[in-house]
Amino acid sequence: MENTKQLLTFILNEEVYGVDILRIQEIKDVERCTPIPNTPDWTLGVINLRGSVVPVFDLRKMFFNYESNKGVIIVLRVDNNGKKKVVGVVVDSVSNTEFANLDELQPAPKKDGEATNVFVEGLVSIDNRMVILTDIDKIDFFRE
Amino acid sequence: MDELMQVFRQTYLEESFEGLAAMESNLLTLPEGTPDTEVINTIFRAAHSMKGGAGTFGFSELIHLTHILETLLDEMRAGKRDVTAENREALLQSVDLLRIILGSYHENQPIDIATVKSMEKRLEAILNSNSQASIEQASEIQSEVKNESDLIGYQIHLSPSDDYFTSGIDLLKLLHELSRIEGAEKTHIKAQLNEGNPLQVEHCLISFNVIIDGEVELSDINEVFEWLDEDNCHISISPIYRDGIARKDLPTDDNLESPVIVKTTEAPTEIAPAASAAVNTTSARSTGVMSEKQDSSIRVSINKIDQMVDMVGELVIAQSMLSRFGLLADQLNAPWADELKEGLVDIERHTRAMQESVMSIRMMPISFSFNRMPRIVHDVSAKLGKDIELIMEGENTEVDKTVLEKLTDPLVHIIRNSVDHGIEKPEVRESKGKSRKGTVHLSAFHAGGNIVIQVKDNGAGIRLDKVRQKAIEAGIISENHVLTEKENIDLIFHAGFSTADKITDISGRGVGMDVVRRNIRELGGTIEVQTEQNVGSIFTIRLPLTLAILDGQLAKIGDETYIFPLASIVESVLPAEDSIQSVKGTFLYRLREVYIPIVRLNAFFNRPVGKTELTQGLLVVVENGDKRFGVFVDSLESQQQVVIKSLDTNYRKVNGVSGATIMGDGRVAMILDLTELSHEVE
Repeated sequence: MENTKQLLTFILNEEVYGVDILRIQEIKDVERCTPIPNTPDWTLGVINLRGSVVPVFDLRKMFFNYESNKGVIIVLRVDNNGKKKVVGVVVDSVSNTEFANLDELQPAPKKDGEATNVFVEGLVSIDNRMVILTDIDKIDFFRE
Repeated sequence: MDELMQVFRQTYLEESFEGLAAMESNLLTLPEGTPDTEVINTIFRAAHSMKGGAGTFGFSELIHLTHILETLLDEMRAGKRDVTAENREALLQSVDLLRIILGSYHENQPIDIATVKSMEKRLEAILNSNSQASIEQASEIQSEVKNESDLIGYQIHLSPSDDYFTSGIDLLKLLHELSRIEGAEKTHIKAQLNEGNPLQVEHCLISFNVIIDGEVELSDINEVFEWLDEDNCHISISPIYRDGIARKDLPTDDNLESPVIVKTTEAPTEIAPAASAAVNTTSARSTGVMSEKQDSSIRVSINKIDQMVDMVGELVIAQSMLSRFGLLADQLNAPWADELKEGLVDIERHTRAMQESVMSIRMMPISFSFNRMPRIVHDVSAKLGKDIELIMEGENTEVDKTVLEKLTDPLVHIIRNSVDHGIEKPEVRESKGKSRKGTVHLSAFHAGGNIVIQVKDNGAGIRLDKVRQKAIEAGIISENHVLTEKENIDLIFHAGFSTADKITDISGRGVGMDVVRRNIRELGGTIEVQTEQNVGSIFTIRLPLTLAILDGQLAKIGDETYIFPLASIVESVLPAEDSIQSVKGTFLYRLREVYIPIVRLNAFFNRPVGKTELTQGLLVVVENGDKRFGVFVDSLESQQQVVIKSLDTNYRKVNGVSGATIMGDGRVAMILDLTELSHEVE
């Protein structure tokens, strides 16, 4: 257990993804957002998180082009060019917290032009299941 | 302990920066010739307390430099040296250097020793130069030096005030420390009982006469009394010289009482322990500056205040949430409705009062920014050979600290421009029939809900034809572009625009006015220019009073709520069909014989909600800068105070939105940026 990382795993497009648990601030039910004018359709808007105005992005719409009424908001801390920001991302569901051995990280098979390429760090196997490890900072939430 | 030291260090640095500002402003008022002792004293004190602290914190680079400065200032104070332009310039530059050094300490950066050394050399060169005054004084100095070697000790008279014991400083310990000063061979202490009621045990009725025998440094003695307050204990120190009395004759109690045996070459000098080096001149006593009563205040970290502003913001939100229940209670005809409403009104009143007082803590006089300007005008005009007077007005006008911080740089830029491009050289001014001396007038005042800052010069004015020409050259406009006068002036705010014939290091690099305008817009403000050939130019900056809380007018498009800054709303009208005209796709509304353009909020924001038929909704007529236009919304709701939350914090800047706020029901609403909306109709 030398080089391990604890992950929060979540379901997106029927696949299991994992994100560093230290980035997670909280998990919330999807709520109605206030739209931000002139932003891409996967930018759902902003919510009031105990006094902070936090933007919410739908990862399903952003990368897999489908919509769903169900889902949860994972509120996490991201680094945007050195600026720390708090954002919410909508996924289908969260599944578990698990330890992943980073020494066993395998490169993910990347298809050309696939949108998810940007944030996939690699694959790890946890209890014989494949988890796609993500680097959340690589996603450009803030583009016009 | 380390942490405590850190706090002291921080305070020391803050105070030193203030001291530097005081040194600078006093140096600038210092006329050439025989120096004004009081002004020199103020400068001296600032340098001295900096040196004192530097010792405590081990800022060795600082100690030596301030020490040389002190020596130089001391000579000026004693009338041994005149103030020359050269001296003053050297002093000003050492102030700059000190600021850099302190900055380096502040950020734990290494210090450029070479620069420090060269400045020390320069000051030492001035010290060693034989100004006429110093020749005259040479013999006197020598005799003093001789006297120094004859110094055999000090007599100290301590008379604590009645309520000395409340100061909490142990007198006996001080006396003990005196005897342990380096070089002290013997210490003789005689206590005296003063007049007074000995039954009042809390009163201090004792005074002391102390004679320290031996070669001790005056500064060491002063150090012992460093923590004593002048109000608590009166101290006088006088040196004892050899020709006054033989050493062995000293130690009898009777001798101490007799004034004959102690020859004091100078009158015993009253000192304030904190400024103890100001001992050897009698004029130090007469300075009025020290006795000036100041408002008592405390230093508070800006973070704490910001936290408080945030909390009050939350309170405003909670209060607006509660106030909805007042209306609800009315609808229910509840028996407790009146009581509830009374309580709610109280809460609202107190929240507002609390908000105002918290905001007032953040307010600082604009002089913090203005104070930099005399130096800039002095430096730049000296460099350019111009004669310029800076007149400042309204320095006490208060603005929000954040506004103040972001305002200083644009203001510096405008002032530099006025000095560099605006005011002409003395000869040119004369040939135009103007006085040789140009003036730059900097003023600040409140107008409506705004702070207005004006920079007015009586220089050449902006040559509109030249501006136009440069703009064509820079490709900003085309050859046959027709411009109104105002549009012509506004070209100077274009990125990459500069009219300077040759690029100087003062202004004219083409980064400038566009940044100025951007900074001011970021603060929610506007900038305007008026100019007249050979009469001068006026730059007018308008800024909101505060950034954190806004009086808002809620408006709806569909089920979405947007907020107008209430201060910008002129009126709202139900548009009549026959007053609406369409010109090339832009809708205009005739408002009492004047046509104003219409911005449809839903179209501007690309929202598929809200009414499309102009006659069905409401036109909010707003004024932004000197522009008037109508914003089309479905309806207006209540007015309320809203707390501005930046979208930038967790997202980014969004066009047309200056921020967001949290409403009484906990939902977020966007606050409109009318300046950006107005660009839509340009």
